[in-house]
Amino acid sequence: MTAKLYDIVVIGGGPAGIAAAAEAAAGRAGVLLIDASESLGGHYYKPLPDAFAEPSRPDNNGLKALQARVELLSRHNVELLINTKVWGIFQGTETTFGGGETTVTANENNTFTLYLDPSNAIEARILIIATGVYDRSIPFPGWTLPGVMTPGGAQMLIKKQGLLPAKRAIVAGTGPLQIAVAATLASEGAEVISILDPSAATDGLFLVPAAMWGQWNRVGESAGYLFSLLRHRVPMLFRYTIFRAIGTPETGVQGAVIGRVDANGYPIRGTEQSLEVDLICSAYGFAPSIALTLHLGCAHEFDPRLCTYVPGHDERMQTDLHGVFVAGDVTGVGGKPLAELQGQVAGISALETLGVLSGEDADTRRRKLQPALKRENRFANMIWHRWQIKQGFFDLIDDDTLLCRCEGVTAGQLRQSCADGAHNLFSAKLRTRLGMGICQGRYCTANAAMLLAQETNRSITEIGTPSIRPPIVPVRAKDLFITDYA
Amino acid sequence: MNSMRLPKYERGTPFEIEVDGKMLVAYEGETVATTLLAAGIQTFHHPSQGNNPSRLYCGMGVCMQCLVTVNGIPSYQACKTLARPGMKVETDR
Repeated sequence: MTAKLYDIVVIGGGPAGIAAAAEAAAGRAGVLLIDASESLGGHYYKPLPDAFAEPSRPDNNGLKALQARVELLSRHNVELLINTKVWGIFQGTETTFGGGETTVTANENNTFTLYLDPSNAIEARILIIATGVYDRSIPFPGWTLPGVMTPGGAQMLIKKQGLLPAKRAIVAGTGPLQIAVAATLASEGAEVISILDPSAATDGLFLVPAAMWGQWNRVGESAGYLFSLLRHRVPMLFRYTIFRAIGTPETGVQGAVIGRVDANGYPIRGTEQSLEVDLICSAYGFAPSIALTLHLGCAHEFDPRLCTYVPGHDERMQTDLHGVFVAGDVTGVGGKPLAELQGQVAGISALETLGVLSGEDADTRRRKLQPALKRENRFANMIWHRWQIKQGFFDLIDDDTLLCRCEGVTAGQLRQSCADGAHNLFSAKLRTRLGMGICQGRYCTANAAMLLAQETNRSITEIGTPSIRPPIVPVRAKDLFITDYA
Repeated sequence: MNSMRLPKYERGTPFEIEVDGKMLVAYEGETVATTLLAAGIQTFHHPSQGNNPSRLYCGMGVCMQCLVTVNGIPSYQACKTLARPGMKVETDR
């Protein structure tokens, strides 16, 4: 049996992926939408488990809007595969299976073969990658202690599992999520000692009027969080950050040392204060989930504000690889409205590539989205200008601090590898095993690149992009073999 | 970290799971991570190198620091695995 061929396969069922699938399917293309979790919606719409009920919950994440979108998908006959991970994509081969055998042969159509977990394979003419983001970590001494979490993780525990993970917490780092998480922690009964923002209160302020004009939902949302922080007397400390987590592997976090930073984010020694806390939430914005685009070989660039790698794309949302499109936060973190617009653009462009839409029609439809795209890009620009990652944030990483948790590689070992001749991510990986563990560098490579550039006095482009090998997510051996085709 | 189930969330049916030989109450819809955290379990996983045990870090299936053994099979992500009646969970100790 030959793997089923779809016109368009969308990977990632968050706001961008849903919008892309809906747009493409409305043009009568055969569309499959794949998502790794148990329901569509991504981080943005993630619902409570079915078995939970919270009667008084307001519809603050727009679950009704999600339902409407999912219904639209089914009306347009979009096929869905949830609880499914893509572990590898290969181009130019055809896969046949059955009778306990899998054969891979060259394929003249140049379609993509996607290998899935649970074991399955499908073919696609066009890929739209909308894999979203996760919290972006920058290490500090003690960051691997139990009780240090990403703000996104803490938010998820409270809102999606009804579990308050702390009695006394601090929330540190950059980005709009920090304020939301602190407000959630405080309103659910945790004592939030403070929010530590390493940027100045005035950073990016000049961009606010133009960027927020017309963003009335966001004005309201921000005001709600700020009001909640006022009500629970949570102070916001600007130009402050977490210096060190205190505790042992056995006890977990018992305290935090915080202090002031200068305009470039460098810690100011002598300003340290100790606090008693049992939860430290820390992250610096978000890191795009680029495992698939890296694996496919798309060109990536280093975004200096996010301080991480993002896949490049043109105004049609196509990467440098023909037939591979990207949409949503994976392209550089712009929030849900931008993600949906980019999804629409990717869907329109995919139809154009398929020949369903003429270039002229596709242009007209894309042009209609331009004003909204401009508005949302302006907003994203304000956010990441205000909260751009600064060189000084990496200054807290001492030689004993772990960079790569999976393989236990410290910053000292990475610096030593430079002394031994490592000069880019690849040669450092060979010497230290950094990024070769089970998470495949998702938490360490961007930070390692910053340290390598500093240590070797080279530009970040000379350090190279990270590499990733299939399976790009851990797969059990039994799922590597396709025994039956569903 | 002192974790607490929030009473305002109405949970699913309670049942027991075995964690490191002890019986713990879990609720339908909870992940293994939630049940372990609510029971005050400090460490879930020991990555291969050094003494840097981990618990829950990213909470969304990316960091692979919350791995536990379920029914004798290693490397389940506690944050993504739903607790089920009669499940036997082992942390790295």
